[in-house]
Amino acid sequence: KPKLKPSVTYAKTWDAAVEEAKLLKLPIVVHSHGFY
Amino acid sequence: MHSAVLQNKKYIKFAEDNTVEVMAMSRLDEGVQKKDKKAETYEATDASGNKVALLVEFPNLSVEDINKMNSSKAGSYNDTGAIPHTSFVDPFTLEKIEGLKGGMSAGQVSDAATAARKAIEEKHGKADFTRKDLAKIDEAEATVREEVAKQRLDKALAAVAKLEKAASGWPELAVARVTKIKGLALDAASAQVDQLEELSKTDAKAAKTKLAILLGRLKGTDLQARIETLLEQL
Repeated sequence: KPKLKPSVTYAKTWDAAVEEAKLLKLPIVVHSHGFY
Repeated sequence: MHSAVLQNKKYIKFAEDNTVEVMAMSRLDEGVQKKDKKAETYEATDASGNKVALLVEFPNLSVEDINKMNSSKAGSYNDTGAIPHTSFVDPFTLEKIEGLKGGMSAGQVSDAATAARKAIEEKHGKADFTRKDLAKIDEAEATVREEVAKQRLDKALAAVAKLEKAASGWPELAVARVTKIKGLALDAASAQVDQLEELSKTDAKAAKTKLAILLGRLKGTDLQARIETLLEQL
């Protein structure tokens, strides 16, 4: 018995995203989606 | 749903070099309750050896990760009341540089991200820190936590020493994380000194030998003076 597709790597938490983006001087791209 | 951009090989490569990606998804719990195929999970073992259930559609995230992210500040950037929506955020000001309403192609998201990156670099300069550097920090933290949990202080301190060597010239924010990781190892070392101080009351010779070995590994830290004082007393 998992069919994993290639995917972007997501930040695990908001604080981690902010820290990473500050260190790398990159924008945070927030994808707002609904499951349905 | 999101595959046109986030599972697009060209965008994946682009994101690796140009963005920090965040998924703020609502109504995921409904999908889990209905056992929707897109909410399917698989079992993985994380860096600390814990079993975790991750989403097949979002391969490095759990349901809890996504729900927490959606409840965080990340969930506030879409002020349109409509989904999907893509926001480009300056991490220094936490302000939205650009917002794109509706479904977008990988090219449109890349173009907006490139413009946002340019705006950030104009204000803050180019980064002299890479994702490889960040991986070194993450790996060292995982190692230190694991070795401390297994009471292998030697290996934890060795991982800290290796990281400190790599950290030469890193930005303040990165050095702060290195210091925090070192603190994890030093807290464990401090607990070990406590144990040896207790041991010295019943077996001074054994305590002295172990403290002398520990001193060699903790020179230059706040614990050095404490160990030297204990050794003088024995």
